[in-house]
Amino acid sequence: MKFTTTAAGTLALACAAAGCGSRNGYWNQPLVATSYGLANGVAIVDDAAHRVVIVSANADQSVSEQQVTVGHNVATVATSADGYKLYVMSTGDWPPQSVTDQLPELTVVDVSTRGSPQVKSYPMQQPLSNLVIDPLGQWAAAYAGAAQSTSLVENPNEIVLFNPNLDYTPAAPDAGAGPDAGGPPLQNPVTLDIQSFGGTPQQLTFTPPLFLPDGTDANGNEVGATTRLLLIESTVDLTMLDMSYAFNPPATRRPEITVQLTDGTTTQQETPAGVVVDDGDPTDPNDARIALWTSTDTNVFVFKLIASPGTVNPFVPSINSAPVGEACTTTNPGACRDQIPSAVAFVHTSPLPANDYGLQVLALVPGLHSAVFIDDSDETTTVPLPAAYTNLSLVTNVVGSSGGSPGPDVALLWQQGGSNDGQPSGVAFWGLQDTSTEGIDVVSVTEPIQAVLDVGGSSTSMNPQLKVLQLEDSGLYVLDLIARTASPLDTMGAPSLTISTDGTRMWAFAPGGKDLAEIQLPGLNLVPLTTPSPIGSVYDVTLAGADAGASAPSALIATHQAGAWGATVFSASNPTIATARNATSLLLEGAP
Amino acid sequence: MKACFFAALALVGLFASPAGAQSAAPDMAPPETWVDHREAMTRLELGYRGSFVPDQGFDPFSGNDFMPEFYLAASRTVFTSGRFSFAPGVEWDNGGRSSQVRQVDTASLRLNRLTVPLEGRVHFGPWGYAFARVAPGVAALQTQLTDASSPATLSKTQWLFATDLSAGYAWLLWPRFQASQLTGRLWLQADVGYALVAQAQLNLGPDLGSGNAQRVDGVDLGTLSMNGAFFRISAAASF
Repeated sequence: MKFTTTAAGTLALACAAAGCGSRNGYWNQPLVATSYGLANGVAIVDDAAHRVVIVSANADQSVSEQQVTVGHNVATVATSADGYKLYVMSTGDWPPQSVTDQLPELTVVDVSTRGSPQVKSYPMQQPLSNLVIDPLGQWAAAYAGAAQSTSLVENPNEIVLFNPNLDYTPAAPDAGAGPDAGGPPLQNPVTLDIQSFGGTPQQLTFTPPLFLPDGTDANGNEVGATTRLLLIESTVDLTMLDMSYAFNPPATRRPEITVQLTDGTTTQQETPAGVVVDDGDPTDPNDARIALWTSTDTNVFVFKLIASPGTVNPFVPSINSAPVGEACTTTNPGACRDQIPSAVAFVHTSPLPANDYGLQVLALVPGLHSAVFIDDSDETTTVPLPAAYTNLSLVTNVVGSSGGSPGPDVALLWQQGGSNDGQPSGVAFWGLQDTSTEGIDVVSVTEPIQAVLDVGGSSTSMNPQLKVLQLEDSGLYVLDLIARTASPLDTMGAPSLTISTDGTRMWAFAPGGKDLAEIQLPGLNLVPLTTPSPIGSVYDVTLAGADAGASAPSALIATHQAGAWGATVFSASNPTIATARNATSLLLEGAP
Repeated sequence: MKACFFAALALVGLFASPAGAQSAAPDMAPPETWVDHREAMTRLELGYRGSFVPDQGFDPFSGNDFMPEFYLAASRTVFTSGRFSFAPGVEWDNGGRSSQVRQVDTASLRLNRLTVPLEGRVHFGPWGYAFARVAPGVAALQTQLTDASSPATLSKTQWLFATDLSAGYAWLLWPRFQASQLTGRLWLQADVGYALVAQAQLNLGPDLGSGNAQRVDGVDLGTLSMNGAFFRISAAASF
């Protein structure tokens, strides 16, 4: 008996020592995930498990999974324009309460190479909620924006700039003049405190390359240099940061330029709505322009970047504003709200004035059923339009200019939603031979338009002349910009659409349903398909290991968000139910 | 599982016959053929087994590392020498766990172990005996996952080599004396040990049924090793 008692005691001790303990917490975490499309797979962010599961398709429609560890408490996820990088910004365990708590960080997952994804992590000093990705892939910027404070004290004007192509490099105590001057590598990321006149950054934009003044040469002649700017729109001002110098040590960093949007005599705040940029004459360093509009003012602000000899920054913006509607005052806020521009673009008109290259700002003011041209001298020309068009996109590069090269642009106008009388306004081609409506050609559609989608967003698109008009209630049109035809497709309800990068097909599905259809472009042949489980989202991706390009073999991955997530994979070139393959329990594999 | 159970019973029956024949001998035989039926006996054990499975592969199926099992064993003494005896037998263990996974799925595991315990005993008269046991055999591991992303339940059954190593003590409850009397005896016993089970690959597949042309891939939950310490507490009857 004594023996058995001893044995039982030993057993109890062994039990305690062996850890009759609980399992890995991963298995108890709730499964709340979101998916993001990459060029060659689908990234499923499994925040509770602090990981991203990358699902790619194989030639036999099976899937391969790879996982990457990311920071705690994911705040923002974004993909690069080319679809080969995933940016995951996390707030960490904030505020930190122990040395083991994780700091905020940005994790960049690069899937462009074969094999395992390349991962770079960039610790941050404070959690930020908003992330902007450079469309050209050079940089990323994080900022607080309008998000709720997570700390006792926060600096909303702090902006963190990342170079995702370089590894994390902390600040060197003796940075000196930078690596070019024999100093240590440049800090990455770099944290900047943007000067403020009371506003806080609301929207950030990386410009395309601009040819800007860059001082003078040895002979005193003005020279230009191609650079890119980060435009920071706040509630009261616009700040420009020269990205060519943003990562430099403070001693050689060019300070940002801030231009106030208000006259400084009022406390009026603006809500940035958008910004457009044009390099103007590519040989003239003094011709780059920026136009900014807000959702709280009828003014369009136009900045021209001109030389500023003798200053740290070799260029300075000259600001002009032009009203496109009735001026906003405190006594008529309602009236002015109806006259705020909804879309702005730089357009070339003809005849081309010799002095300004024919570049004008075109603003759509749907409340006035009009378009307003703003020329180089801030003179405005209002043109009544046949409908309250809210959106415009330039299609000159597809349809060609009607007046030679360079010549007048062709704009595609459309109205989001129905007009006040409920009548659809269709889409309008507007050849900007002059600032009149004579060049408008309307293609009618039967329903109000919800969105206009480009067919193939990449340069490898094989059908750039097509656009898809998604209608509000049901149905869609495929618009041919060259033939100026709009082919209708009937649908049950308003389906979600995914267009392949190469522009040769489009997928329509109803989220939560099992029906799926391939629409081959440009012929509009339909292939109806079904999946065994309700569809959450669909992604047209190149096969694992395939080289990028228009001819890369592709697959469709339809995700199923039930349970531990599943996916149905179809061959993109020949989708059939017979060859489709279903993968199950994607988020249970590779448990940490 | 049923097959294992009946096999065990059949083996008990086989053991019972020769024991009966041998036990009749002391009453009629001279003292030199006297048999202590607290040593030479046929035993039937029924008890509870608790196993500790620290392997991470066990995590989907249980909130902790513990797996309870029921077990049934029969043995027959085939050799005695002084205070020592040797008794082979057959044993069937059955147990399982089930748990919710990521708050959306249910994973379950069932283990059937069929082993041949080879038991060496040191007897202490009316106080019972201490024993050491080696039990090679096989284990059938059935794993199952119910996930809404799959059109059918995902499952897998594997046969694995298994061996138990244990030592313990059997305490004679009643009757503790009348050693030569051929009668039923009740025992309480406990042992502790270590179980060895070959590693299982948890690549579960859907059970779509014949005629279903869907191409459905299962899930790979990694590997599972059911190795670990265990204890057993049981009641036994001998005759």
